[in-house]
Order: sequence, then structure tokens, then C-alpha cells
Amino acid sequence: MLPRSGDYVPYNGRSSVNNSSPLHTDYVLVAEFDLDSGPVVRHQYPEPIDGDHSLMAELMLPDQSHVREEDWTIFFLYKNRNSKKFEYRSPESSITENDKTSESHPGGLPHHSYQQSAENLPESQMYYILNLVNTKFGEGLKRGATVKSMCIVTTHPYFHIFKPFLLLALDEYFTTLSISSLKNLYDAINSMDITLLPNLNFSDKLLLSSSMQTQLFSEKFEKTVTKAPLLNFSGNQSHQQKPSYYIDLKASEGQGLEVRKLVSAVAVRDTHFFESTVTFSNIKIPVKVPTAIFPDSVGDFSLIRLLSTMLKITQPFLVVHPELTIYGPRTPAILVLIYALLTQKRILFVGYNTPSGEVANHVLAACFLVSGGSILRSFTTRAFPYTDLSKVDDLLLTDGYIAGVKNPAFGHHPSWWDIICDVENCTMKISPDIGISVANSKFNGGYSANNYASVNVSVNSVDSQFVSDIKSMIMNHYGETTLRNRCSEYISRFVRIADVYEQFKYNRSALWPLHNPRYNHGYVWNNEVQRNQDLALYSPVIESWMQSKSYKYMTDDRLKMLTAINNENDIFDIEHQLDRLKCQLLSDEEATEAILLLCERAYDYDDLNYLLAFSSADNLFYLAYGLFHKNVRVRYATAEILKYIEDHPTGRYFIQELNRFQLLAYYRVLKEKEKDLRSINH
Amino acid sequence: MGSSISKMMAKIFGNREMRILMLGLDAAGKTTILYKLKLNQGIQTVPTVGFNVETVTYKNIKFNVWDVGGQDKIRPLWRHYFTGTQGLIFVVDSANHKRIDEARQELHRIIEDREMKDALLLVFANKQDLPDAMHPKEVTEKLKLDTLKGRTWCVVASTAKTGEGLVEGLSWLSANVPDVK
Repeated sequence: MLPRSGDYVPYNGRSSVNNSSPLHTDYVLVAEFDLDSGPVVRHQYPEPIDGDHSLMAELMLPDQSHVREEDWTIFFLYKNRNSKKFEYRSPESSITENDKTSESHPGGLPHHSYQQSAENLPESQMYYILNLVNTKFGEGLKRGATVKSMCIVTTHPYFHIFKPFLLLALDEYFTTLSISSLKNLYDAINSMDITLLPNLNFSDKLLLSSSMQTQLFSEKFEKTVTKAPLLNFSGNQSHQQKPSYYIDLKASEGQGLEVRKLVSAVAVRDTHFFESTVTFSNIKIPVKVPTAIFPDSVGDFSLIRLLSTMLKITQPFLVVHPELTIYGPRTPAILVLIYALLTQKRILFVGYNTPSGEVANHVLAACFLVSGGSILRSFTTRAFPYTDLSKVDDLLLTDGYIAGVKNPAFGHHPSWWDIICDVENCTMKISPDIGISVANSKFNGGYSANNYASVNVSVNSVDSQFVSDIKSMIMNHYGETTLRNRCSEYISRFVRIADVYEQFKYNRSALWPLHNPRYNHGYVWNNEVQRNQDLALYSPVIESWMQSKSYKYMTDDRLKMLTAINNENDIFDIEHQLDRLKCQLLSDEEATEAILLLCERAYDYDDLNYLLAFSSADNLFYLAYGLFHKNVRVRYATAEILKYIEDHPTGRYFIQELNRFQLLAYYRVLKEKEKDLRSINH
Repeated sequence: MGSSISKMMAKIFGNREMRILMLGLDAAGKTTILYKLKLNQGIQTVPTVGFNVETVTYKNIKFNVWDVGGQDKIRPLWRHYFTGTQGLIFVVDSANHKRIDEARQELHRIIEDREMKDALLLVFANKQDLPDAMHPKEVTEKLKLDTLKGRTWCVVASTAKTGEGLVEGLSWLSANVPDVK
């Protein structure tokens, strides 16, 4: 039941959370680089978009489009609920007077976290723009080339599934030059049927994303599948209406219900995706809608790509900053990036010869990286996956933006950014405007040099393990999911250390606002010395994170989550208890307490999902320890919770995967328990 | 080893770098000039979406030349390139009499900017190969360069396609570049 951010506020509104909306794309636009005047929007369908058209045209024709034949870009727009006008900046992420006053109380816990935020509904709806630009070169063309682009405006964060259709439609547009090509694309994308997309809640998604099991929650899919054949077979024999995931084997319309059921049971290949089709020019093309995504998982970015860039950055930092280079100039770039994202620094990714799609990929991957997938949020609302010089004023009005650009001229303005990362030459710089130059601090030999410009700080073993894990995972071609999980583990650790830090420094933590004095919460260390070292090491990062938007959202969400729990004895940190079993040498009494706490808690549906998600990496290994405890009460309680898990449609997959030794012990203890019960009854 | 030698050379001859901004109306020939300088060959250019940037080394000076698209709608972006610019190359299509006034307005708008007050001004009176091309002197008059106070400027006749005049232009820039520490 550990609350995670983003639980109560599906601020991407009409995404997979709510699939009642019929529109998958709201607008289709075509822009062109006019030889005389520059970027212009040529066509819009079904109607002109209410917003700044020249801004749209500029973003649709990224810098250097004239040197490559094809490029993808991504940008976001926000539609204000009241004015209905599309804006480039999210109202939530803009620098306002309020922010300035709240920042005037440095240190200490923010007070807002103890009040319910008045309004859950965000002021604006976020729209994703996926844009394809093509340049055709030719002798016959005036000035040798023509540059045109087409984009879709959608509320789906999985807009990347529409890429093939955009390719086809833009190609068609080059020959028709007519609005009919826009209409075709609009109709095609909106033909997608996701009414049967299972409605997974936050805890479902958390568990699904933490596991590579392909059949989790298949019962939710089955429900939709068995419904589908009924529709299909009830008189309407049209082949067209069959869902694409229906494997047709030999089953013809005439066969019995049993056969159909059998077919539908194996129909869901991987519950991480929902399969549907898009009909483009009368051709049905399958698409896979991802089912386990969170607000900060946008598009089909590659985290591996971002991490590889980070690993290639090896030169020491020439400017250091206490919240970023916590290990001095040689702090690994990947850590600096994470701390910069957490402490809401302005981050710029630059790639001059890199396609703008690639730059955007870095930005989206960075948002995911720091969100830990499901842990923190609000990063995409201040992300500008691709932007250019014409939008610099918008950037400067956005606190802690994360932006991707192609123009190295940004590098000439250190006042515009806090961190700049060249994804092509693999360099990362901290702006001299916010940090201290290493050369100066060495020269002075002063206070700052000893503090954080020094190279003497030894790297925390968990941090160095994290960096070397990433390195070897990438070298050994591990998959995207594995790396994503490894990174979210790191973010989770940071947040849980922050929880302990707040208790240590302020005697209470806004990250665990309903404290039950009986139970501890937060990260677990196996020794005190390490704990104190870590708290001191990360304190600048944590203090700065406490002033950030993502922290505010996290504390707000946690408070709502914990206040929703009825029984105050159930308010304890499951992850903390699991970690005690994992990391610490516990006395018998302590172990008894921890296991009984975990096993005798009243789990509801969501709680069980959380418990499974937290123990999915080790597959219940530490929980199942209890089967071997010398106290019979503990053994029985453990068997009971495992039984409860086994009876759960999702949990049974985890029980099946238990290691053999534990599985046998589980059945044995279960039997003993039943025998005992019978003997008591007799 | 190689790098230590070049470091030594840099110590002796000075490591001179100059940031150059090349502007002008659309289709004046900016990109053609850039690549003629860079590659010493005329290439078929296409309209610049955004910008191009290349490093050209001439007489021990590394010129970082920024070539920014000139269409009407994107001219407001020029100002973002001003900071740190030491030399402005303004390219004029000498054969386009109709747009020379427009060119003058844009040029004056640029160099009145505070960030550009110390920048050298080199004007390429380009496309001299075209029959109706204005003489550099006429270009000077039409651009009203005489009215500029306290500015080091120079007009050079050029034909980007053949490269005529380009080296002379760079040579003037390198002769007038302020000492780099």
C-alpha cells in the first residue's frame, strides 16, 4: 500500500485511463518552409487550431531540416480549460510570484503538504504533437529543395504507435498537396478501437511495469476478449469485426462456445500491450497500445540511448556545484544528471548533427529516468523535447525546464541553462552562473575546495554499484525494461533516504505524513555509520529536492494515500519491513515482528499489488523466509499470506515462480496448519 | 605528442579564434559562401532551415562562421546570435535592386544592437557575375554605410559560386581582428 505519486491525478486526462473519448488525434497539420517568408502552416484539419500558428510552424520545421531527408520531432502543447486556447507552456510549470514567495523559506518542511490541495483537476490538458518532416531535393525544384512536415495533435502519451501512418500520409501529401491527405490520416487514427482496453489502475500498472511476466492481469483482458466474440458471433458474420488479437486457428463461426473460449484464453500474448488496429486506406494495420505507462513515460524513447550517452561523458567537470557534483569534478555524469533533474535545474540537451528526434529522445528518457517510472511526476510538464531559439523566452519562464535543441548557439548563453549536455560530443557542463569553477577553487585552496571540489570524497558503494551495473548491463545488451527497473530502483532509494533524512533532521517527514510511532519507515541500512554518511552525503540534494515541484506532488499524493487507509495499524511502510528482512541481521523478536506485521495486515486488492510489486525483483524470496521461522505462528502467518497471494489471479504467477525449496516448504506448512486446525476442531 | 606540439604552436602563434555571424536577406548566397570557404567548392545549396555553422581556418585564425536563414519570419531570431559575435558578414544580392532597401533596414537594425557595438562589419556585395549587379560603391551608398559612426567596416565584391572575393574578405577580417589574449 505504499503510495506512489500520480495515484490520484490522472492528469493526462484522456489517455488510457479514460478511453471513452472517441478521438485519438484532435488535429492534423501540415507546415512548409516557404522560400520567401520561412515556416508557415499550410493546412489544418478538421479546423484551425486555436493557438499560435507561427509557433506551430517553427516547431514543425526543426533546425537543419535542409540537411536530412527525414526527421521526427515531438513537442507538447497545453489547452487551458477555460480559454480553450493552446499554449506552449504548462501553466503549472511557469515561474510565478507564488513560487518566489514559497522559496523564501529555505530549509524546513513545506507547510502545504499537510493541507489537501484544493483542486485536483489540473488547469490544462496536455497534448502531444508528433511531427514528421521530409525534405525532397531535386534539380527541378525552386532553390533545389522543398521541406514539408505533417503532425498529429493527440492526448495519448503513446503517440509513437501512429508513426507508420504519419509516414504514409506525408508521403501521400507530397503528391496530392491536398487537405484530403490530412483527412485520411485523421480518419485512420480515429478509427482505432480501444473501448476494450482494460482499465488498469495505478497499482495494477505498477505491478505490471515491475514484472516481465506476460500474463499478469490477463483475466482483465479475457473479460474483454470473451465479450468480443459474443459481439462477433451474434448474427453478424462479418469477418471485419473480429478483433485482431483473436487467433483464428480453425475456429469458424459454426463452432461451439468452448472452442471460442479456448481461443480467447490464449489470445493475449503480452498484457503489457493491448492490440488493436488502425484502418489506413482500407488496409488494417495492427497497433500495440502500451498498458502499463505513467504520466512521465511519454513516447518510445530509449533509456538505454540516454544512459549510453551519459557513460561516454568522462571528462571532469570544470565547474562544480554542491547539489550536483557531490563527489567533486569526477562525479559520474549520470549521477549529476539525476541530481540536476531532482533539484529542478534547467537542463538542456544539444545535438547539432543529431536528428531532432534523437535529441527529443534524450529529453523524454530523462523525464522517465528521474520519475523512476511511477515514483515521481511532473517532469514532462516542463519538458520541451524539441525546441529552438525562437522559444527561448518560453524556456526562461519555465522553472527547471528539460529541453532538447539542435542549435549549439545555446551554449553561448550560460545564463540560459544550469546544465548543458552535448549528446553528440558527449560533454556535460555546469553553468558558471550557478557553480564554482574548479580552477578558481583550487587556486584559492579555500573552503569550497575542501567541501565539494575535492576528489577525496569516496564514492558511496551503492552509487558506484549503480554506475557499474548500468555500464555492464548496457555492454551485455540487457533489455530496456531491465535498465528501466534498475534506474527506478535508484530513484526509489533516493526518495526513501530523503524520508529518513527528514525524520532525522526535522523529526517528521512529509514523505510519510501519517506517522505511526510504532513503526519506522523509509530506507533501511545495515549499519548506522553508513546511514549517517549517506544522510550527510545526500543532504544538499535532498534539501534542494524538497523545494521542487516533484517533491510537492509526492508529499501531496502520499498524504491522500495514507489518509485513505481506515485502520491506523495498517499504516506502515511495506517496503521498509521487506527491506529489514533483506538487509539487516534481525533478532528473533525483530524478525517475528516484521513478518507478522507483513503477514497479518489486512490487504485489499491494491495493497496486494503493491506488496507484489515491491517483492517482484526477488519474487517473494524474503517474505517466504517466514516459512522457516522457529515460531510456528510466524510460519502459519507466512503460509496464510502466500495462500492469499496464490488465490489472487495475479499473485498465482508469483507463487508458481517461487524457488523449489520455498514452494515445497509452503505446501508443507500449509498442510501442517490445516492438520492443526482440524485437531483443534476435533 | 601531436597535441603537445599543437599546444606549443598555439603558445607561439597565439590561439586565435573568431566568432563570425553571417546574415542577409533570403537567397543572398550566405550558405554558398560558407561552404565555398569551408570546402573550397561550390555546392548546390538549398534554403537554410534554421542555421548552419562551420569552422574555417585561415591564416592561423579559426573562424567560427554561423550562417542563419534569412526569410522574413525568422529574422527576429538573429538577435539570439549576437552575444559574443566579433564579426558580422552581411551578404547582399547585388543584382536585386528591388530589395536593397530592405537589406539596408535589416543591416542597420542589426548593428544598432548593443551586443553588436564592437563587431567588425564585412559586407559581401555578392552575385557580381550577374549582368545587372551593382558596383560595391553603389552598394555602399545604398546601404548608407557612411552614416555609421565608429564602426570598422568594409565592402568586398564577391561571387560566391566561383569564390571570387571571399578570401579577400576573410583576409580583411583577420587583419582587423582585435588581439585575442
